[in-house]
Amino acid sequence: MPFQIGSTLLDACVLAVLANGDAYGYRLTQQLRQVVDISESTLYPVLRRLQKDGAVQSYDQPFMGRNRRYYRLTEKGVQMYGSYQDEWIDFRTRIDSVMLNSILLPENREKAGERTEENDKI
Amino acid sequence: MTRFEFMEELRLRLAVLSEEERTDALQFYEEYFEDAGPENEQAVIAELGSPAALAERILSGEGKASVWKNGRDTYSQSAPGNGGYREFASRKAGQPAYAAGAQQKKHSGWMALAIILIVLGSPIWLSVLFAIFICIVAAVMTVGAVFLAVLCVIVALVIICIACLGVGLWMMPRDMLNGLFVFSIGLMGMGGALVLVPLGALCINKGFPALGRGIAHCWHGVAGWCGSVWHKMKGGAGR
Repeated sequence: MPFQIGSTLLDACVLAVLANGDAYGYRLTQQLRQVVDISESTLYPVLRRLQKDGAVQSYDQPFMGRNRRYYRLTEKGVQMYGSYQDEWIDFRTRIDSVMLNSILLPENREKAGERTEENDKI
Repeated sequence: MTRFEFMEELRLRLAVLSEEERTDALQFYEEYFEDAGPENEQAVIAELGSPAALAERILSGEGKASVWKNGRDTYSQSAPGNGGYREFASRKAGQPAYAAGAQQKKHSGWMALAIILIVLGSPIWLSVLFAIFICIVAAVMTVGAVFLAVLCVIVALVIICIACLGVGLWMMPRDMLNGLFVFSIGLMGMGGALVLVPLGALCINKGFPALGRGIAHCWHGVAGWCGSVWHKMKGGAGR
């Protein structure tokens, strides 16, 4: 896959997963790995960075006689997630207008809009 | 590499971090191993790459990825230096450092082995050296003895010749024939000496420098060979 996911986009993805509910490291990685070719070694630095930025908090919960560290969004994290969503829609629209120019001719635009939404669901 | 070896090396490589940050990172991966389950231990280790690469990733604090699908082709590499895509990072940054460390370890291991072998083998090679030394001494003594023997023979011959001349002269008035015979032996000896002494002197004059040169030549050959073998051994150990 030639398209890189930069650190900002990866941050946004992590925030998006955590917006669906708190998660621990392994589960978070597995969830992201369903969509993104993220290495297992990549997630910790991302979480650490988000923690330092105050977007994510960690808390420990006992599990089978040991601690499991969960991560949850803070108020700031929720705000960041929201602004990332807006930015993403803007970004995607710009790229689409160039990349999918042949599909997005004025007469096809509505149809194509439906199509990309379908793609998102998939 | 087991999980514990992996974690231990990771711990060492994160030594520059503060206690709190290191504990946090190590706990994350400990938990990761726990959650992945013991049956996936090797898979997780393979996925994480080398501890060196992982440590570098953590220290550089960057995370990058590409969208799934066929993500393992040549495109999906991040720019160097940002600790990005796993394959790339482990190849570009992690492996050389790790390999170099291993090689250094290996090298010092060889040195230690060589020293142990030298110490343990000392009864053998010391006695071999002593035997060689004794052989050289014996050879020198043999040559010396041969020279001494030749000298003795020459001296004896000279004495006999002179004695023959004296005895021949002394015998001639009494027994003319035998006296002349002995005297002639003496004269023959002298004649032989007149021929042999210049010849011998010539041989020694020409022969000794030649012998000396020959010995020097042999010595150079042996020394050169020893030197080249030594350099080869040194070169081999250095590699």
